[in-house]
Amino acid sequence: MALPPWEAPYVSVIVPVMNEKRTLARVLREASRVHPSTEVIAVVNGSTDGSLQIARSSGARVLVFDRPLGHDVGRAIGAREALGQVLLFIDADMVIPASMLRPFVAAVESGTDVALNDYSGPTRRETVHGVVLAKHALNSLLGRPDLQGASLTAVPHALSRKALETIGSPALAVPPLAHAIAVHRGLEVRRARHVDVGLINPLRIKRERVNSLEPLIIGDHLEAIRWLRANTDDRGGHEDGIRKRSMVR
Amino acid sequence: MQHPNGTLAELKAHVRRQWALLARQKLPLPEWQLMWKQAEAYGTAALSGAEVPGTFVPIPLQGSAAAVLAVPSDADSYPKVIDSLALLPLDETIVVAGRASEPLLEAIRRNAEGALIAHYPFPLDGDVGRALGAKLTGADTVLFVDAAASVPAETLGRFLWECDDGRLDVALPDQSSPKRLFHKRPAVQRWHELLNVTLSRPDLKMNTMAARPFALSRGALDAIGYADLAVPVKAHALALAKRLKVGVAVRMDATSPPTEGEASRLAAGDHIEAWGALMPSKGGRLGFSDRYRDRKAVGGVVNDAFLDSHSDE
Repeated sequence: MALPPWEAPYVSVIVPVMNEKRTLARVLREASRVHPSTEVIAVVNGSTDGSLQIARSSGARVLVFDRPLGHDVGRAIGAREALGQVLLFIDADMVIPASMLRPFVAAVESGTDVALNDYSGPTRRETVHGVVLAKHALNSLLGRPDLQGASLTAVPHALSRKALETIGSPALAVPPLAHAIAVHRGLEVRRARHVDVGLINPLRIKRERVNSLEPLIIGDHLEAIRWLRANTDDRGGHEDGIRKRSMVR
Repeated sequence: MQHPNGTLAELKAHVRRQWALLARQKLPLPEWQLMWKQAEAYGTAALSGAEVPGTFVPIPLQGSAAAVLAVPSDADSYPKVIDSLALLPLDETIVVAGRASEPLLEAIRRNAEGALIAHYPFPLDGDVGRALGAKLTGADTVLFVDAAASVPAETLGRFLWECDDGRLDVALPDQSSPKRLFHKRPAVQRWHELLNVTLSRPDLKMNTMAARPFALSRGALDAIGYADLAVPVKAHALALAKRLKVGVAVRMDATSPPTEGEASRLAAGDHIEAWGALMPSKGGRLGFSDRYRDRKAVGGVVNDAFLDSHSDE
């Protein structure tokens, strides 16, 4: 990166990478164009397909792990190392043009702390995917039904530095947990722009059918609920109406 | 209402026993609708033979049955559901009312012959009322109904039937419909649905004990306990966690879920409480494991201390 050494980047783009040589070069190139002052952080983990070389020659900051870190852990590690005032999170298997990423950065620049992908998944049906269900249910439990199915579980999304400090980087490894913390602690959480990840990455949809992430993400949402309880009360801070429970034993 | 040979209740009990013997002579029993019609024909003819007007449907239950009706304090009209209950082969009818008006209580006494009426001089939450009512009966199957809704007797009978024959411990109203799409459904139903998913019963969709009517077997009542019955969402979660036979009895429009305001917030609290009640035994992820994340690489995530004390299933 051609930045003078004393100038901190304004935007950090965090990209976890595990064997993504097909798309990686293009992803990193688009990432570097989101803002004139950008650092791209590639968190290469468990990669054996030459992704590491691609990341190194791209000019990105590269963090290397010889083992897979597992889902979303790379995001937490990248965030910990980031220097920017705005942190943008994307995936390495999905090429999103810089022009579609900039609105996330712009949203944070104009006061949003958590700028979400305005993507709720397909909901005009009787039964939706469990992940879509969990996202909608969590948002309404958190008192933010207006967020619909938008969640830190989906990329792209951007955080302000204040959001990172409020949430703490480790929680980013469990995105629904980070999401619950952000909303509950009163950060400005907004839907920034619609990016249809389903259209951009049909391959991922196919993989989801074979090796579903649904149980992992459902468990993540339960962790979010568990956190909410631990930080409020048994009822998540909700009232108990006119019940006189002591009458029934 | 005296019958020459005793009370109407005694007559009905006699008709019930007779029809149960007759109907079960030819097994298997016919499917529900035919069985209902046959029972209705026999029961009504038997009453008329005793020169008692009216309809009676002695579906051939094997165990005893009771209905619990909670009448909220703001109810001003006579609960029509009592007329439906009168057609069913119930051993007990229990009405729990909180600060009901004297004319209303009088109307209930008149129409629900032999009903046990528990009246409290203060406003009573419906869920607490039903839990109190459940404590007052020892029946093998207990049907829980709502004063506000008028439900046909045949629909109510179906709930008793599904528990009585052992297919279900918890018989729920099926509120799902291919025409009721996700994006149009209220948040409360999404929580019901997520609760079912997190207990590995996505097939139950948004169906829940928080909607009435529903029926419980004696086994379900014993397993859940009366105190938790006062929070139906929690009772539902416990029924699933205890692996009771939970399923739908019949498709119907049950009591409508709250869409906003206090009732909705109450439901949010109920769900969080329900999940919380499961976590001590099933872990913070309820067995939805996370084997591949290297959480130590980030120094641990906030809930980890809690999660680590529970091995995943």
